[in-house]
Order: sequence, then structure tokens, then C-alpha cells
Amino acid sequence: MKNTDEIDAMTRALARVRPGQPAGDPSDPEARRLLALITAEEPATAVGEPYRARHHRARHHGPRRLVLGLAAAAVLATVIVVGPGLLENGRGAATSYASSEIEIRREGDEYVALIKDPYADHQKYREAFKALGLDVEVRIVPVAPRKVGQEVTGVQGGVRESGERTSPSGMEDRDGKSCTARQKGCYLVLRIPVDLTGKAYLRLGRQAGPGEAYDEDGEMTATTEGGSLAGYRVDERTVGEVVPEIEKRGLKVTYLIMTVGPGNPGGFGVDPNRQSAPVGKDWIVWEAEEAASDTVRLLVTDKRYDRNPVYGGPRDDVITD
Amino acid sequence: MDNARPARFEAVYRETYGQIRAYAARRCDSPQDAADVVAETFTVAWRRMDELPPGEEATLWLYGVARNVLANHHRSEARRQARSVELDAGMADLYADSPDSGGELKAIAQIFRALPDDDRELLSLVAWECLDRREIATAMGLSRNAVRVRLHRARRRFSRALTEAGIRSTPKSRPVPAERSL
Repeated sequence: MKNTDEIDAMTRALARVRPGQPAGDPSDPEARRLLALITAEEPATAVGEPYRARHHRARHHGPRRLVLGLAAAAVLATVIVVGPGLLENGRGAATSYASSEIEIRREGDEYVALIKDPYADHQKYREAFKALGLDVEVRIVPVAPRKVGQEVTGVQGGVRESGERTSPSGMEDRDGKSCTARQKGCYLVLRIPVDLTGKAYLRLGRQAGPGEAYDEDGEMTATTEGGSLAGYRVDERTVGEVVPEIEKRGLKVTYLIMTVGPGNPGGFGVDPNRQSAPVGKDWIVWEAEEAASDTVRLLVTDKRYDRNPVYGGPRDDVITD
Repeated sequence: MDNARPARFEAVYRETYGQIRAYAARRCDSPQDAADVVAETFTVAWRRMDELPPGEEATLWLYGVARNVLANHHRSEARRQARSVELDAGMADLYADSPDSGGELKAIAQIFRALPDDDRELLSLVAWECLDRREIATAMGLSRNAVRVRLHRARRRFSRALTEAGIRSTPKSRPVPAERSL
């Protein structure tokens, strides 16, 4: 083995920001803006309603605010655990829990929660976990078929010490075999370490009904493998070119009108006040997302940019089909 | 909301902003991702102020939060998320030069990226954030002994992978600041 100093020196050489050095000054305008944005949020509200906040904010703030609101929307959409601590075992003997909505049993170091009713009030799940001494908030949201059974957003790392290779959630039958949502006796199953000490917020994807809008934060690209437009590239084409092709596939179209920052730095915002603007045939499509089982959402701008804002460059640089 | 809360948050924010930003920039492939991780990390901190430890421990706690935020980011299917339109120009500047653009460094970077997440994080907290064992233990929620053992294993795995790839020398192309031994 190379000696410790050598190994650490090699690691140091890879640092983008010089080791030990900060990057950025809290007095910079961008730092001030971020601070203002974060502290504008009422903490209690945000914790209680982490998912709906996105829509709520978008609707109630004027354009000036919106520029800031965009970052907040992205932030609020992500969910969260918190606190690095944990994993010192010893919460005492575990028990199991069963109700008509959820069943939880212990298997080794994990609690295995079987969601019997994915449409139940989320408080019911919470009560179940609470009975076992766990602070877990689960929301179950409609998602694209490829996302069913998965955590749409949630917690990893600090909470699940066993690492990312464990399957935190999935679709399983009562014997623990994996199954698909359409099969009888197939349940959404969630695994939580028994020594969870923080609070976990999780969102799990369930199968969406016909035409039911997918949860926005579970956005899925429609043009990749398994997607409803798999094999058909829409990026950098015009709306007029793309829409007939999509309709030929029996799908409906909605739009997300992107706001691109000065200089097209990569990435985009969404200004809710602009979303009802009529989209012209000459507008440019940058990507398509699954919106519902029968609908795709086109990400568009009213003019062509030098590079795809969705990917900050060519789609091929990011997505390799 | 009482006034103490924003004031305390601002104090922590001012104290840790540069460190958390550096942490994110060192681990994200794009300035957008890094800016998001910074924003999300402080948002979590704002919401969980009651758990935020005082003093220097706050930074370590925030590293732990940032690590969780980052894990979520990495897992999201595509890089793309609706981003802030506000361009974080300073962050973009940090990405103007890739630290691993040289030939051998690039190979080392590839090997490093292929390490298990926890290995990478441990090695990074030592080499990039210059944390000692106790600090890493706090940031990662592990015992000090666990950090010692895992760090040893991580270094061994990295070393083995480097050897297998035929990389022997220590790269000299970057300035290396004063070291803290661990």
C-alpha cells in the first residue's frame, strides 16, 4: 500500500476548491440573496408541508419575488432528513404494528413496512411508525411506471447506514418477492433501519391512474428507454415538428415554459405567471417529460439558444441511451 | 417567529457559507448542482435550527446535512432539475478549470470516483475539508474508532486500485497546503 501521506496527497490533488479553503464570501450578493430567500420561509410551515409548498409559493408571489422563488421551489421540492448523528443502536425491544393502512414488522436491523392502502391519510403511516418509536413521514404520490415503488425523494446516507446497496423501497408480495404494481397481492414496501434517530421524510411512488397527473417532483424524461417517447428525440426541434409526432403516438401534450438566465448558464427556471402563454409552432423543444399516463410535458422556450438549457449543453453529453 | 432565530441563522450562515460552498463544489460535477446543494443544505439548516449545534460543531453538522442532500442529488435520475435562474457566477468560475484535466490526474480521478461513496467521503473529509478523526466522526455520525477503521480501509482500497492501474507517483501539479496529520 502506498503510505497514508501519498494517498491523501492524491486525494488533495483532485480538489476543485483548494483543500481547507472556503469558496465564496457570505457578503457577496448571491450569498445575501440566498440568505434572504431561505429565511423568508416560515420554517414550521415548510416542515409540515414540504411537498405542497412548491405550488403554494409559486401561486402567491409576484414576479419580482419569483426570481428568488425559483430557487426556493427547487429547494422545497427536495426532501430531507436531517442531522448526521445516529446509528448507535439500542432503542429497546421492537414490536410490530398493523392497521388497515399499514403493517410494520421487524426483520433483523430493519423495520419492513408494507403499505396496504396507498391512498390513506399520511398521518396514519406516521402514527404507525411513531408507535415503534420512529419519526417517519411518508407521502405516497402518483408517478410514472418506471418510478413505481421507488423513493421519489427521501433519505439516504446518514439514516441508512447499511448503504445505498440496500433496497430502501420497492414492490413486494407478502413473501418478500418483488412484483409489479398490477399484480394482485403486490404492495409498496419500505425499509427503515431500526436505529433511525433523525426524522425522515420520504416520498414513495405509486402507480398512477389512467390520466392521473404524475407528481411533479417525480419528473421522468419521456424520451429515454422505457419512456412513453422512447426512441424519439425531441431536443432542439420545433414545437410544430414535435407535436404531430407525439400525437401520432396517442399522447397529449402540455408545456412547461422555461425561463433561461442571462447568458444561458445551464439550467432554467419556471415562472408560473408565464405558463399560460400561447406556445408557438416555432418555439424550441429541449426535452419531454412524463406528465401522466396519456400526456407528455414539453420543456420549451420561445427562441433558440446556443445550447440546451436543460442539460447545459448537448443532451448526448448527459444522457447516453 | 421570534427574532433570535433569523439572527442566529445568519450568524451560522456567515460563518459556514464558504465552507459549505467549497464542500459542494468539490463534490458536484456542475456549478448548478453545487449551487443547489448549498441552497438545500442551508434550507434544511433553517428548518432544523433547533438541532443545529453551537460553535464549530455547526459546520460539522452542516457537512452531514450536505452529505445527505448530495446523496439525494446523485440519485435523481437525470442531472436536470428546474434550476434557479439566478446564475451563481462565482460558482461557475470555480468550474472554469477542471482539477483533473491532466493525464495522470484524470486517471486518478476516475479511480477515486469508482470508490464506494463512504470511502470517497472519508478520504475527502480528510484531504479536502482537512477534518480530523473526531470531526469526521461527528460529521458522519460514526464513532471515532469506526472512522479510524474505515479510513484505513478506504485508503487501502484506493491504494490498491491505484496500483492496479499502474499509478505510482504522487501528483505534483497542484499546490498542496500545509497538512494536518491524521
